[in-house]
Amino acid sequence: MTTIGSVLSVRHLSARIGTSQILHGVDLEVPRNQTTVILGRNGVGKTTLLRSILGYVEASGDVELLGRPIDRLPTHKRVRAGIAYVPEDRDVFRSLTVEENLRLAERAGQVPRYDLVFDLFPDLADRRSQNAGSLSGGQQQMVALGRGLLAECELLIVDEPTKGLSPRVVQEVVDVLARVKEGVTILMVEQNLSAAQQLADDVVVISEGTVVASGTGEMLVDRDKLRGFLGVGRSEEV
Amino acid sequence: MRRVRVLAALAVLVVFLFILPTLDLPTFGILPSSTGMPGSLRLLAIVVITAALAVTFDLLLGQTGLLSFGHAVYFAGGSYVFAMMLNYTSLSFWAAAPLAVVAVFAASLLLGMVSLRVEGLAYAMVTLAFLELASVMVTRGYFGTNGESGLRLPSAKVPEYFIGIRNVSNVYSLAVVVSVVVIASAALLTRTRFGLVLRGMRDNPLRMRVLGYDVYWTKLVIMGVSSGMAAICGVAYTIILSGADPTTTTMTFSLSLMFMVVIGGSGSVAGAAVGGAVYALLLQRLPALGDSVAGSGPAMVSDIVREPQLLLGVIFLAVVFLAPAGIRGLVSRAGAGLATAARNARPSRPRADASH
Amino acid sequence: MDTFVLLTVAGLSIGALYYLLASGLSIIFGLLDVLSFAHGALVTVGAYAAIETMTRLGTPSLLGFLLAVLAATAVGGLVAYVIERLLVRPMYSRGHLAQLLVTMGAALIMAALIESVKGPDEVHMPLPKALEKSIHIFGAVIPVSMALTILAAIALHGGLLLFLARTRHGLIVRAGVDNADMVRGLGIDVSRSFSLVFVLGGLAAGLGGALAAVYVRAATPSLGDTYLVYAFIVLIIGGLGSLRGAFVAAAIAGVIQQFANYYVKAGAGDIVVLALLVVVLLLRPQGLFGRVGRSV
Repeated sequence: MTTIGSVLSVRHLSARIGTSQILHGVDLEVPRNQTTVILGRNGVGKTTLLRSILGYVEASGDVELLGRPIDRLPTHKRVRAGIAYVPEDRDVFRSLTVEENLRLAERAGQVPRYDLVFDLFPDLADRRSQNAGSLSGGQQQMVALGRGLLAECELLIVDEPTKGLSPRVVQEVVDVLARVKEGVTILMVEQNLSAAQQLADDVVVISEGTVVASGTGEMLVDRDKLRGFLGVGRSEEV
Repeated sequence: MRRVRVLAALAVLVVFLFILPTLDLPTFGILPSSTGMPGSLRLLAIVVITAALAVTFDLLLGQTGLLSFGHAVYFAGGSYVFAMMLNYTSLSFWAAAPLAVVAVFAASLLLGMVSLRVEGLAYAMVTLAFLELASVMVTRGYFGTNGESGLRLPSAKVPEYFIGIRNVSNVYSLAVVVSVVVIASAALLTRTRFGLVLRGMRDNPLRMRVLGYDVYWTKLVIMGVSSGMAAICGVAYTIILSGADPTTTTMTFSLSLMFMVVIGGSGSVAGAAVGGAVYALLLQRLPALGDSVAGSGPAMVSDIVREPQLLLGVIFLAVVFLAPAGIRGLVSRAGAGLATAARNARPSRPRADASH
Repeated sequence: MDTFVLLTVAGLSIGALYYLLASGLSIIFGLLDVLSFAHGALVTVGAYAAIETMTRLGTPSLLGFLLAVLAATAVGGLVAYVIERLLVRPMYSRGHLAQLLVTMGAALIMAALIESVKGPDEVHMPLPKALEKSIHIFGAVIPVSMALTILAAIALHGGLLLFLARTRHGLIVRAGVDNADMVRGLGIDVSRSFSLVFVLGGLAAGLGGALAAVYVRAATPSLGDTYLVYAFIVLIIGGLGSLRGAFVAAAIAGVIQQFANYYVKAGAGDIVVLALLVVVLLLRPQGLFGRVGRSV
């Protein structure tokens, strides 16, 4: 089933939340050591796709990580199978310190990569004992990314890391991801086209719960064509 | 069309309830005796009042999503205030009854103003605290509540047609009238615009707030309404028992309201009524059932079977696990199953033909 | 003066009993958003377990009493574990009301089972001589049993705070209170923490049952109900989800209850505690230690 070189393959993934069908049979391959960026307008099911892969949303279809089916596993076992997850809106543990947030990401049988994390985010080292809830949005994003990078993983899933951040911080986050993307397989949702352009090796466009286009990062160059896939007018900001 | 049929069925049910005392139907052990006998009528009166009480609770939990652990305090309140007015004031029977309801209604608004300052489980816990206060006052016999033995109505003040075994059918009729009025009012309320707002509060309080509804006042109003209705039931219950019963202030009784609504199917007036009726019937009749079963088994088993609370607990867990939507869910599922069976039983199905 | 000290100590010891129940409820509520009605019945179960152990061991001795306390604690934890695995866990996907309802069903069944086996009447708790003694503090005569109850609550509170602050399980519990879904997303089986806090709450409730049996010298099948209601009140006054709040509120509630019962009238204590609850709700609905966001 798995395409050679794919870290994650998703087949016919359908999901509903309550009574509304969000995903209609999504197929997706995430190649090794590549960064795959999912694009799409608000509400087309990008986050639901990631959350279905992680097992937060009940879904039907096949999800394989390195050829091993994980779609029957509970969330924590899917993650232990080799996924790191950086959720939308950061979801740091607000009443815990930065250090405690990171400590929760330690995994049994692995040496936690604190050196890497503090090298990427020197800010966090200074704020170890600060409550994560008192950090700025950008700093919280760094905690969330740090949590994702602390343990080695086969696949890093990142949901809109630049959402709600100031342009300067957006560039910081993009730079960090650009540094770590060598040697890591990444699946990310990103609405910010310039950020996507800097990071994407592959692009998948989702509309109305299905994949409507996919290709290499080159797709992002022809903005008009991209607008067509996304289903937005010429004048609209993508 | 469906609506007309439902209304007709309900009308038949109400008429049936009213003429029941004259019918003297056999009850096959469900009731202590045939329907016309005083023992059965008294029990049926309790059953219909409990059904109405469950409906008043469903207005909170099922319709508004407002979880209360202490709703029984208004039922007990109606009961005790009524009994105390008759015992300690010169008010007449028919003056005390509405006054007791008004007093409880006013008290519920006061308590609501305090308890609704918190939401969710915290609100439920506060309501339980108020119930506990009532329970303490009653068990210690404060304010003339007369402690564990309950407070009897002074027979001189009770109209003659409600006194004695001969007049049980009058008491029963009163219970049916009260029950029908309360349940019908609740059913009508859920069909009004206000009823729609309540369900909006239940399903999406945030949305309702954004739409400009005052969640606090809406909850306060429905709390007052359902508490007032519970007080009406409480007054009727006192007349049935000829006195106020201290067990109505216990936590177990108050929490059992949740059992009733869940057994029947939360969010439906009819479901809550059925749940309340079934619960009251089980509670009254399980001990007798236990006795008849117990004769044949070892002592330990018979002791256990004789505990109605135990069986109720098991039944309740079974409902939560096996029939989350309660009796109503079972009925509609059985209905759907019958419909499917009927469809499948049809001899020629176009698709089956096509596949040949 | 000695009356004042005695009333204070008596109040603190009854507050300690409230805390033994409230602490577990507080952590369970924080993590699972559920109130466990079963924990009131666990107090009762613990009390009967302690009485049963004492009675079977014959002449009351201090060692026997220690065994009885251990037995009560263990039984509380064990029953809590069974309830969590068999009843509460299947309801996690069904929402909070279903979880609440199964704990109520469990409470009802436990109370009924106890009543059917032990009867509805009071069962006497035999006490060793050492516990009947008193010690002298500030000129007041303090019964040993009261001092013991207070010490147990303080030890539990300290132990829980250490557990939450210093251990990895405690860290997971605190994170789970914040966002249980995200804990799963880090590859941690948070449902194990659910069992853990349920069992911890059960152990504390069982211990509370044994000490409640000491306090009232007896047990009835509905013993735990009253403590459960007061544990709820204490949680609201202290601030739902705050362990420190529950600790302080339990002490306050116990003490003012004793003073009102002594100086006003037996039973006035309940009214005063209720009045305190109303005042707190009006002035500070989030409770003494409550924050707008939740945390343990």
